[in-house]
Amino acid sequence: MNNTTKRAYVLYAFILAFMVGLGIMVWSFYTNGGEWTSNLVNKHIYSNGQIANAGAVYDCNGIALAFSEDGVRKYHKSETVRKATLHAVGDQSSFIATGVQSIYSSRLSGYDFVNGVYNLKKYNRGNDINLTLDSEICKVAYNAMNGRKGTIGVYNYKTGEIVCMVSAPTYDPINKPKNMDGNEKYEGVYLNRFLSGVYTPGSTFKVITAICALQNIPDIEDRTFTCTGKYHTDSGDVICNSTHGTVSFERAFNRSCNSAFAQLAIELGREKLMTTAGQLGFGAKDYMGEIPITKSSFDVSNTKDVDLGWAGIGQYTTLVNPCQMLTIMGAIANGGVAVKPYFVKDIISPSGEITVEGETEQSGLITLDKAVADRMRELMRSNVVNYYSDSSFPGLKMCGKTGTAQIDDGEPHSWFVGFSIDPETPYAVVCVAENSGSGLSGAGKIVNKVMQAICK
Amino acid sequence: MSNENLNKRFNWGLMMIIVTAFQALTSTVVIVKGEVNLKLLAVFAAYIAAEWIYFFIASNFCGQNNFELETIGFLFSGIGLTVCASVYDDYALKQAVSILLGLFVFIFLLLVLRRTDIVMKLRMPVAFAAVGLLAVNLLLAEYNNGALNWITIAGFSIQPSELVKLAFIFVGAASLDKLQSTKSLTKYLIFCLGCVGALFLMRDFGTALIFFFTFMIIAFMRSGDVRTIALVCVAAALGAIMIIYFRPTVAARFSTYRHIWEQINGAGMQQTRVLIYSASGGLFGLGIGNGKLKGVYASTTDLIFGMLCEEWGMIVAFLIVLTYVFILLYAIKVARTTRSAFYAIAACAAAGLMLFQTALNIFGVTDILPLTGVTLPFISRGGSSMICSWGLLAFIKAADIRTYPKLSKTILPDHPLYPPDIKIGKRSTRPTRRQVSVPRVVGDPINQKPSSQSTARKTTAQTKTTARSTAKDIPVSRQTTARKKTAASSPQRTTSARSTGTAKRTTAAKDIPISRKASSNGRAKR
Repeated sequence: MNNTTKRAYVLYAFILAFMVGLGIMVWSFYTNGGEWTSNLVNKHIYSNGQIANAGAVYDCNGIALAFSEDGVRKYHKSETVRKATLHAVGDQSSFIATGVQSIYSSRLSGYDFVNGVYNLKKYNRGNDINLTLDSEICKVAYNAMNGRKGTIGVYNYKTGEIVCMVSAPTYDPINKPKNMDGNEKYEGVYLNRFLSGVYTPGSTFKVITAICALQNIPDIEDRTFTCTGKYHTDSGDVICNSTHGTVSFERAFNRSCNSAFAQLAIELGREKLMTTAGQLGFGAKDYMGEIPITKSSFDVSNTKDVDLGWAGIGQYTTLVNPCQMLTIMGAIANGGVAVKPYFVKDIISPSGEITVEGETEQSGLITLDKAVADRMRELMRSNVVNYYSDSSFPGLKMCGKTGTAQIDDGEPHSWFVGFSIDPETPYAVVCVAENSGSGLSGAGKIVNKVMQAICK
Repeated sequence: MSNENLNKRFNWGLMMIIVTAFQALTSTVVIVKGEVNLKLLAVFAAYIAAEWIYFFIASNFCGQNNFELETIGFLFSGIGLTVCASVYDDYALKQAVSILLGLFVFIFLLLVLRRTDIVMKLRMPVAFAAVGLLAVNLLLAEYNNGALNWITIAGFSIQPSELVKLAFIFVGAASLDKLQSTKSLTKYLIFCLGCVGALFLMRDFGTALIFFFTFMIIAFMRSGDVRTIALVCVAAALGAIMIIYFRPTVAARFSTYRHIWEQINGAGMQQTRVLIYSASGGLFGLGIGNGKLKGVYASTTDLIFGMLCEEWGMIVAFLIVLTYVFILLYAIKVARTTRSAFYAIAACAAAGLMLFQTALNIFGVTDILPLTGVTLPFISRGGSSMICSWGLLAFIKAADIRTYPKLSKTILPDHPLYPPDIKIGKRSTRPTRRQVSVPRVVGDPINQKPSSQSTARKTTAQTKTTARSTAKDIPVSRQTTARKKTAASSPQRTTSARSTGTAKRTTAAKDIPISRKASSNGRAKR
């Protein structure tokens, strides 16, 4: 009998196991509660798989881009604005995974571990979210894209606020087209190309090659390159867009001379190029708040010389994310200090409590010397002054680099990356217009329209 | 003396008023949803009245002065009733009737368990009835949610496996000393195998697991043999692997486990909804009747933990769950001072079963364990489950020495909680061999010491003549030292018992003989 009751103590082991189970349960509720409650099947927030009750999303001028009214999700009255801001705001069924309405759905629903969705039920609204985007600028940008696929992003390189972020193709969230699946016109429509897209950079990658050259070749400014229309290596030729003759480093950059930069890339070598790319954030996973940014990739280990040459001018397997490129531009414009872009400013609870989401913050992934950045800024300014001409950007003091990325099929993608050096308008810009030919005539024109709208 | 210390007066009347106030408040929310629902009002009024009637009679006529377990039972049954009522009016009436039935079973079992001699007589009939019930179940069963564990009699569906849980503990604990013989071990094993096997055939794996776990508790507490238990576990695990290997359909039942979000509108529907809505409820809940989980299948039965989290809040839900831990701790504690090993084992097995079932339920619906579809004791809707829960509570309460105060008080004046003089098993009629063999005291360290044994001895001769007349005063040691013929007169014995009792709170032997033999093998005796 003594033994019998002593043996009851094994039940303590069972109690312990039970408590561990409870601990796991509490922990999983604590860590996953937000994700769980924002599931589409949660009828407190969604009805028929669509957000019914949630907070509003405002642009930087306080214009509501999305809001709930009587259990129905509503959007801005202008169709163009709805389309232009679709990828930032997101749809009500979370097809656009990086949209605010998907990523921040638990905040919009007002969920927190302590109160659950009680506030949503009580106030009939969740937390509101303020964006840094300007819906009017986005509208201009969307119109400037003129039906082309691609993306444009503009951000203040001093503060990190993204004022314009448009991805095309897009659609109207309150009138979703039915024939989108398999339709070439809507290819990748749910993807925010600015954050989740990766493109062959074309000549815009020469910025990175140039940075590497400035870092590693002391007498780079005194060097001259001879362009015969192609650059010959043992394993093949790198073709240039023109025959530039003998050019200086600056002029080679102005003219975007493939021969010169292929030669530079091979001279610099695989290791140094990859080091510079790594310092500029290639290959590193980054997040904008809670939104994942697709990483850029640059890998030239185990390449033949000719491929290294091609990689140095932005072809080969190199892929660049537009947001990543924009941050590099910001770093060059800002004297080597890369400010992280963000577009979710703050979250305001129904009771008025403000949670700051986006702040001016230096990117930990990009390191750039001030001297190199300053020289790059001069070089990019020289591009506009000496080659593209200021008349392409009337009234602006733009710096930039165009790109024409050759792709396997179809017209090349047109790139423009750059920034304004006017201290009144410290904006950096990236634009990719798919299948739109040369950089300046495609993306350059879009950038001009958007920058004119921002800087007026 | 220690009477006052042990039975600190707790104002149970006040406790009942608090419980009633809680139930009145929560039920009002349900009753006055929209317009006043008179039907529900009547149901709740009747339920609260029944609580008070029980309390009044038990405290005034049955000498009960402790109501811990009943309070928990009333409180939880009331919460379950309120949840049922918030979903569907008709659930409430049925549930209230179930609670009353459960209360009757509780009282009936307490009456039966008072008499261990009756328990011993009922052992075999109950075992046969239990196996028979499961056999009938298998014959008449109809498919219900993938399991065959329901039978419908005259419009009432009952789940025999719930009732068999009570029989399982009853039989298991009652054949205590018999385990020592191979024959009774075999019998008990056959009984267990019959129960678990029948449940497997019904595909009620959750209940089968509960039975297996309970068997483990009973078997371990009886034998203390870790190797045997390990062997049984290995055998069971092998059996489970064999079943999964040869019957892939069984494994398919558990394929959702840890993959619920991939089948969010399929097999994982219940678990995902529980997680989503439980999290939506937060710590304080959205309010009774304001949840959305109630629209999901089996919300008031298997998924009721989710409803509690969503509507009553996670704090309430976790307090309820922690209470089952408390019940088990309580059972372990009362087992230390109870009258015999039967009560100790029954209490620990019942409380262990209850907590295990709780674990299967709450961890099943939250995908921490595979979903097995067992109920949450007291809270889940369902008559069979409710009756079983109250029955389990009776086993725990019976072990509490304060439950049978009249028995206790008259037997040993110097120990307020001293056991009654119930003798179980056939006793030899031959005077010369007549021995009062009493199992050793629970939690009595004195009795183990050789030095104190001499004072706690009782000769056969004296017992023979004085047992009838003085047994009530004289505790007798399990270590029947009759053969040693140590002479110790009963007055001396009592005196010494008093002195040691004062010092150590417990006296000498206070257990009841269950076997007719004394301690015929070395294992029972130390």
